[in-house]
Amino acid sequence: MTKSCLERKLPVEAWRYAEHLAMEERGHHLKIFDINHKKPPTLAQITLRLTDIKDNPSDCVKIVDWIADGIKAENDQWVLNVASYLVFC
Amino acid sequence: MRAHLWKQVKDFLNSATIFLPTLEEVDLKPFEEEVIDTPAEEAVEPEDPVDISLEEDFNCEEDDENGDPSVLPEMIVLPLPSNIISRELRPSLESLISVERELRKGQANDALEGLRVGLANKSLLLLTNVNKSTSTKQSTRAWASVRNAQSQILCHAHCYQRARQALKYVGTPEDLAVYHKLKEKDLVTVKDITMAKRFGQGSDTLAWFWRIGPSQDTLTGKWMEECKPTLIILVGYI
Repeated sequence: MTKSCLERKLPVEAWRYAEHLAMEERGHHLKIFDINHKKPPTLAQITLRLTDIKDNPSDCVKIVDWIADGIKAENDQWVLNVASYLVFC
Repeated sequence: MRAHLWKQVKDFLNSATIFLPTLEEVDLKPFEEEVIDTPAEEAVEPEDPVDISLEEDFNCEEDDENGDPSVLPEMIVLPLPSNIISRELRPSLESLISVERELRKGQANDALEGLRVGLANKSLLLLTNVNKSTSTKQSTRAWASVRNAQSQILCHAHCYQRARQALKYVGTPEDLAVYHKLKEKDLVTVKDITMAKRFGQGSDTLAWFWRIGPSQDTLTGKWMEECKPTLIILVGYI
């Protein structure tokens, strides 16, 4: 271990124990090796969050559904436009 | 395809009467599409037209009693909050705007993820299938895969542009600081895959969307902490 590691008093023993446990037990203990990479939320995740009835009033849920449908319809409009262009040109 | 879109648009317009006040044609502004293409040096011929049965489309359109055959569903401007330009109506649309803002951010995230996957896929196809093809048959197939990957890239690029365009109206300046404008030079293949060990690699940088992620605070804080146990474990093994 480097000097800076010692100075910072990092919980190295706990990490070593977790590593040992992961090697012995496997399963969910292996999660310590997962990279802590947090991806930005997807459209589906956001829709799900906003339509959660527990946290949002029913009016809000209807609005989310409506706008999500609008975004999907808008995408399909573009796809059809491109498809028409490819067929006729 | 068109009949399905008709139904989608019709349902959306019907529901709009519940959430929106009566709109005039001047209150709506269609999306200004910015054409984006892959850089000329990396362009491949567009993919063959998709298999679309127009006959079926037109028949379905005629069957639709409520659909107006003179108006194509893909040409209708949908009354989404980002398309409404009327200043008078804007205060009454606050709740709708906040919802659209969140959803557009999700759409942009999806599009950027698709863009990253598409570019990496195209790069790999060029490196493996195209470079290693030994016959005309293999080469034709390899280039077909590349064209397909490029179509996917352009599709995601359009989707991102649409989301960003909407965020200009319904988002905040902070959103636009995260979601930058997409340029043609950003749609290049990953040179670290296709041309590894090339001259000038050290000073080459990837497009901004490859680096998009958690804020700087998160990066310098908890993220770096994680490097420490990994390093210690690795050193222990060595």
